[in-house]
Amino acid sequence: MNVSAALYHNDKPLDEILLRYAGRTNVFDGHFRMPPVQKDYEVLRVVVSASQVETPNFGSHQTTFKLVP
Amino acid sequence: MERFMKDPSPTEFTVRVISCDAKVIGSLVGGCRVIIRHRVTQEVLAEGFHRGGSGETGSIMKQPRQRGATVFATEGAAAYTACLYLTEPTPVEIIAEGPLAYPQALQRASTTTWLIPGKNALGEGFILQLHGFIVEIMTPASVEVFGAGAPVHLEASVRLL
Repeated sequence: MNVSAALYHNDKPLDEILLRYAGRTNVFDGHFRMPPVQKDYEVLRVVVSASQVETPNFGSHQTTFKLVP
Repeated sequence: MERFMKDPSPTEFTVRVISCDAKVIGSLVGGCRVIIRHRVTQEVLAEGFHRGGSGETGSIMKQPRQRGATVFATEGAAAYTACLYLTEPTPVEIIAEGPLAYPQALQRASTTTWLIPGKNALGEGFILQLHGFIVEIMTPASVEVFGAGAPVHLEASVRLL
């Protein structure tokens, strides 16, 4: 199974990482380094995708959060 | 044949919704919505919820399957059972949507079949399979605020439906 995460700002992709097994059942993790902020704050979106092409099974979830200088 | 036209016959059937490469989609993930629709008129003949347990791991995930063997219809396993009063053979579409507790993972599957008055389809019943993972971002939460340049720890859970 492949689990990855992509970081977006205004729908522009900023970064993509592979998430690794976190040592707890069904949990995967990783780290993003946040970009600089030009305004009072920016809203970023992260999209996590899971895929297993052999079965095939796919899934995704996303969330947004605020970034300040 | 005359009986078909005059006396409605109770016709019971079971629908089971399973996860591709996993078990029965049960109440733990919110179960599924099941709709029985007349294939020609599109009238909804029955609808309800598929709830219960996820079935027996042994029979679903471990043991080799033989034709006619009970795999999913074990004690407490999730199912939706309906009874229609039919006067004639009826073409239906069976639609299942779930898991209802995870909108981001919601999938839908359907099949078509005939229902024949008085001919029950219980036990394993009609089996619909949904593909997918329940992906859930645990951190960061959507209300969190981060400083520029800082590393952000991302954690997600991934499991079969």
